[in-house]
Amino acid sequence: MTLQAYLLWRALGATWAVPSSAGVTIVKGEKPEIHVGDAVFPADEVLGLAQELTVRQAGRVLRAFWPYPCLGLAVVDQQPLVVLPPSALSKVLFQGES
Amino acid sequence: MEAREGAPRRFLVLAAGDRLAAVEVGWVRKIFRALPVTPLPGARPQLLGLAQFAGEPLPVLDLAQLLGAGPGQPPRFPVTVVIWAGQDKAKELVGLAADAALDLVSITADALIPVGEGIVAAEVALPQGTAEVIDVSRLETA
Repeated sequence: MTLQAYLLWRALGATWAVPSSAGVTIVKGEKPEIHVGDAVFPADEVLGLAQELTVRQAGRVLRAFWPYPCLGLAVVDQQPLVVLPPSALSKVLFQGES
Repeated sequence: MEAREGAPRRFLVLAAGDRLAAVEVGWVRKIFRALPVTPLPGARPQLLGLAQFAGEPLPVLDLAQLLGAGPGQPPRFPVTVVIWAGQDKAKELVGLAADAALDLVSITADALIPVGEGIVAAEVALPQGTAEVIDVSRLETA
């Protein structure tokens, strides 16, 4: 369990989080975007910052069936989400585009 | 889930597509009417996505997909069975999405025909038909 600030957003039908310490910038508007370094990720909706997110380590079953790097799982407002490392955002959010 | 030789063990019988599955009751934590699931893009087809159970994230697997089942009757009362998967310190809660929870049955060891392939440990003849006995410690190897 860790306590840290995370940016939360919805994209590709799921909810995601990334540590705010990763140097994240939000561009709001009709088509919101998440900027991490030079990379830009479209979002369906930016949910905001969570100051205290209880992140659980992903278990072996999830890792067996969803083969992407993740920092863990959490629940916010009864919605499960995946906490991604900044380095994995492209791999997860641009699947099939690379 | 070791039991005395010959002593009957209790199993939950589930419908999954055109198959029946049996899960030993000792691994079952709770049964819900199908929990809402958030799909994860890029997941293998066996993983329906994530639900939340008691405020915790819960991976939910499609039992029919795990068994390679064909389509069955349209589910009238689909369920999510929350089970303990894995072994010892690696135990974790996982949801199994099934078309229905049908019955609780007692089965003796001599009624089980070992299969030892994938997540199916054995088969057993039940009044409803042949059921595949799931070894939940092997879910991650499916």
